[in-house]
Amino acid sequence: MRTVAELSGALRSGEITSRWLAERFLDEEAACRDEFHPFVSVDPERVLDEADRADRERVEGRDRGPLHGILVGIKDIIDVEGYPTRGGSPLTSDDPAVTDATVVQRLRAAGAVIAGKTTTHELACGVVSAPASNPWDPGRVPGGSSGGSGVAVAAGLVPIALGSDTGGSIRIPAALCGTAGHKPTYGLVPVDGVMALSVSLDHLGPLGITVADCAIALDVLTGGGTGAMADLDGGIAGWRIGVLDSGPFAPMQDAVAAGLERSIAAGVELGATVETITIDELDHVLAVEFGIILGEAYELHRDALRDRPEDIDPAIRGLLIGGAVFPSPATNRAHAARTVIARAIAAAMDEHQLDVLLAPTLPATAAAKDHPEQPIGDGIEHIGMSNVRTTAPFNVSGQPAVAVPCGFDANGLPVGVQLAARAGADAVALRAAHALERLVAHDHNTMGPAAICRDRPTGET
Amino acid sequence: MAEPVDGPAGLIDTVSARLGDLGLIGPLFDPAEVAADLAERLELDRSLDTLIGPGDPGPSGPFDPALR
Repeated sequence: MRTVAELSGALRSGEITSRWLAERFLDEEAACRDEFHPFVSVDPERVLDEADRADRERVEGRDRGPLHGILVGIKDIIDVEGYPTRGGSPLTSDDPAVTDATVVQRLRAAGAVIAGKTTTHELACGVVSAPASNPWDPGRVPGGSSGGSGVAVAAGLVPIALGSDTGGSIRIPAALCGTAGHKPTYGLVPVDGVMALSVSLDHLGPLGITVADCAIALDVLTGGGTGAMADLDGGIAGWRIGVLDSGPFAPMQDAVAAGLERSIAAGVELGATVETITIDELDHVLAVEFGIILGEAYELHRDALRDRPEDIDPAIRGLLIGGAVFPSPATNRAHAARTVIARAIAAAMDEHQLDVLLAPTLPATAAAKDHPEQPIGDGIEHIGMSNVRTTAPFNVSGQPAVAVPCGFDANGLPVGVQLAARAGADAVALRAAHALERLVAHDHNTMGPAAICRDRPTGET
Repeated sequence: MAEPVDGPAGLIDTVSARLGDLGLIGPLFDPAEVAADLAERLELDRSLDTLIGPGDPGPSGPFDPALR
């Protein structure tokens, strides 16, 4: 019993209580904390109080919806009243946030219990998320920057955790930890009360055990009206799927290619028409992605860069310095090119009459913590680039993209694909991912790594 | 995209001045290293020419002398 639907059903029937869920969470989080570090802040008293409140409301006959009494993790760049927002950085304050971010307010209004703050890569700018570890192999990275959210969901501590995605930071940990993850359409989910990285590219969204978990969360995070849940089970018979496997999506490891092939076969089995397409403009997507991030991240952190540079990780510091000296015309060009790329993708979808695009979420599985460079195809790539080149296209275009697991490599590490729909058509992307998930991700949902934490007595590491 | 016409040394001087203007001074802000990084980024940026054309780099403050 792990998904929102399963847990919510058990809560509604009285089989379990939110208090029981909270106590189980606290026990499991304590048990895996030292090795996997999914959370940076958990306040047991608050978690139990919120769970008790949810239970009292249910006894009084109030049901706030599918998240009522469900525990949700919050990435530690999102304000939660009473918790500090540390952003993985010594630049931030220990002072607790005085108000909830809008997304947290909406979760609370839906009856969710805030489990705590999940580990983030420093300043949400990286793909390692130290000290968090991959729940399938603690010697490997969980991805980032929403790494702790990926670990927390994959390990079964919570069914949903919030992440942010500027260049792939929801979908990267989702792929590497074997969860679903949804980067919504740009602007669909409010980002106030959230530490920004690049305001033109930042997205907020959920990681979930299943795509349905993400759809439930999206309805709450947006304030409702996406139609994501209503359309979820509609299937994809008669749909047209465009496969992206060239440009920034190539090369990829053999296990990833095999996962993509399984997903293509699943699409055909479900009645969709599948064709491979190329969009040449995507060859330049990293120039656009980093051209925009450079200037915007520098503007956000310019005072810290000047006054406390020693408190910024050298790789991030290098990015910020790059933003400081990058000529403004280059940034303007990147913004112009962003529009060109978004139009090119839309035109390709129009030309081929596509409902969704299918691509590998990442070109490789999780890297070893001490080896940030991986063999991919005939070359060696640093994860700082390889983990972004396949996800950034949909940050640049602003389209919704849903990551879904689709198998494992020879080391037992998760492999994933992503489904992208037109901007605003989040329900379409979720519906397609949900349909494929049933055929290609069943192993993840039935033999997930939850046992890593769950079978270990509290205190033992 | 505009490119440095006065060679790496000119770019380093320009970067050094820019860092100074921004108060980014000290051992963590090595102008030669930043200039090398910037040159790589501008090379990447040049790939955008195929999308939007080389265009006019426009006013770029202290970069004009080195990047035109």
